[in-house]
Amino acid sequence: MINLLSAEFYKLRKSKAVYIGILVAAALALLLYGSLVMIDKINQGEVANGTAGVVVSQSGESMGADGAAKSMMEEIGVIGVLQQMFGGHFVGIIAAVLVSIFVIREFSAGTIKNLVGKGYSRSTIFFAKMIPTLTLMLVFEAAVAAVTICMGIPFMGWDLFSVTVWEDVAVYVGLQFLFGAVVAVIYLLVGELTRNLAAGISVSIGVLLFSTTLTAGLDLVFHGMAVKPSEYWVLDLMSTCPIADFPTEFIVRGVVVSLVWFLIAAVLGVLHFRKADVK
Amino acid sequence: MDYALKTDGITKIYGRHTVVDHVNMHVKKGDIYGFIGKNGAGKTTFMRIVAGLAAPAAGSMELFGSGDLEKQRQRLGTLIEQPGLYGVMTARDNLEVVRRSFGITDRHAVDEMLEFVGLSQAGKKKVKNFSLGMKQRLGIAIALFRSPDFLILDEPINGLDPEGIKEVRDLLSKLNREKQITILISSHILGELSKIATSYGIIKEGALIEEFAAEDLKRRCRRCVKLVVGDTQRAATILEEKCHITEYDVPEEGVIRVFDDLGNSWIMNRELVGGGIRLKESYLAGQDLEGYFMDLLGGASND
Repeated sequence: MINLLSAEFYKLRKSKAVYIGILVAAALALLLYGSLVMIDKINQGEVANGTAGVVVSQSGESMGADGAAKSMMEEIGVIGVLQQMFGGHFVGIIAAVLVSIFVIREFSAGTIKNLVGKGYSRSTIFFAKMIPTLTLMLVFEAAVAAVTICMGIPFMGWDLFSVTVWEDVAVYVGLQFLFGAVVAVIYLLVGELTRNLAAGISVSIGVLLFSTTLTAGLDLVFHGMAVKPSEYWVLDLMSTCPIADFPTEFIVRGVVVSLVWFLIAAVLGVLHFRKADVK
Repeated sequence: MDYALKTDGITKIYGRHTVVDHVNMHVKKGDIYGFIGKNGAGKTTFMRIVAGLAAPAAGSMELFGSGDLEKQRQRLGTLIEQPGLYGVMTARDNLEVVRRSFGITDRHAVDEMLEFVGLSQAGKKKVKNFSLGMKQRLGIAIALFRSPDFLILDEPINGLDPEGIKEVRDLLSKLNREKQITILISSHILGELSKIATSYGIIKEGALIEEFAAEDLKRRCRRCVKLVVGDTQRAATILEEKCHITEYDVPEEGVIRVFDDLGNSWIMNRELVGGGIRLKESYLAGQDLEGYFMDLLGGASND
């Protein structure tokens, strides 16, 4: 197992896709900050509404402690942009591509044969792939969080460090790490089942974007009953995760639901990999 | 008898199609076993089963006399279908991944292997830009890592130029001779296969129809004068006494195959007829290896 992990982490280090993914995430964060700047400028009348595609349809203003109107940048802050990055599935979409490339290329390039044909147990190979996949996801999420925070400096100045409630950021990012780990294993399962890069990426993104619609539908079906399915689906938890005043119930439910889905995805993945032929 | 591989009734079924049909293969330790069959005959599927890439529907196998396949497969080196390579990495990086996977602590092992397969000059060239021959060589290098006792090679000379084919052939002979590595190899280039194989297995429509040693094959393909006679015993006596023939055999009653003095077959005919033997047929027989295999596999009619 240690040998396989050493090889997997070597591949991970050599993978340019990870760095490209972080760059794409940084570009998205830049766009988010940029649109906040535009909204503020439109609200202040400095720029015409609709410039660069940014349309402010409702310009509600919050008041700061001193009674002055707060800008959208101040209102949303770093944690709001983080929420857009994680809860808005920007991170999930890029991660779907990264994990799919990392997992599925073993099948499409046939390199998985080099291990299976050498007598390693299928379970060992699967878990040796799962651990770096989780690492990939966590490193990517950490990089996105760091880049998002750092990119706030040019827009918000050094005030960013004084106005941000870092405890909330830490809890929010921590919860997203937890949900992200589960999502990574789900992507790994999708990759193992599809074994085709295009299909793997498509299905993974499909799960990411449409499963919450499905759970919303299920919520309607179960309307009036004690169970609300969306509360037990990790991708719903990812997008509805609060950014402050975290309820203990949400955190406990988040941990339990994550653990259950993690186990389900991992067990299904290993069972399929043990049984299926390798081409 | 010590076998590197012994299978018993290995069968693989895809849907309603039996791809490998009760194959009983015997690969002796130290053999270079030429595995011959047409496209779609089941060679690759069988090799994949042996390598653990596919599970058989029925049957069992032993590797090095043991049924603990997971453990014994650590002694295998495989190159089945396309070599498994990371296209965006260099040859060195590919081998570094393999070195780490196999827990080989000697860092020089990668350089030595690159040198061994003639890829030490590949430098920073990415594998996706390699020629087919270079990819095959890198695939063989991966198969050879961790000093396997048994190599399973599926069409390893596919796509190689004549020089590359000779290099691989020499390499395999050397590995077999110097390191006593057993090799199971399939190839469509039967002439090349016959230069190194010490035994053969013929697979047709999923079934292993025959296994034989290289010497046996040479004997079967040897040129001879085939005589179809009425009285085999008397004809044989005449050939020995009048024509001084010593090398002949009687594969079946009424048929004599004479292997020496082929240029004087007319004398044999004259003496046999003169001796009162009813000579039904007399002709020069024998064929090259390719022709022999084609006959065995069903010839052009099955293409």
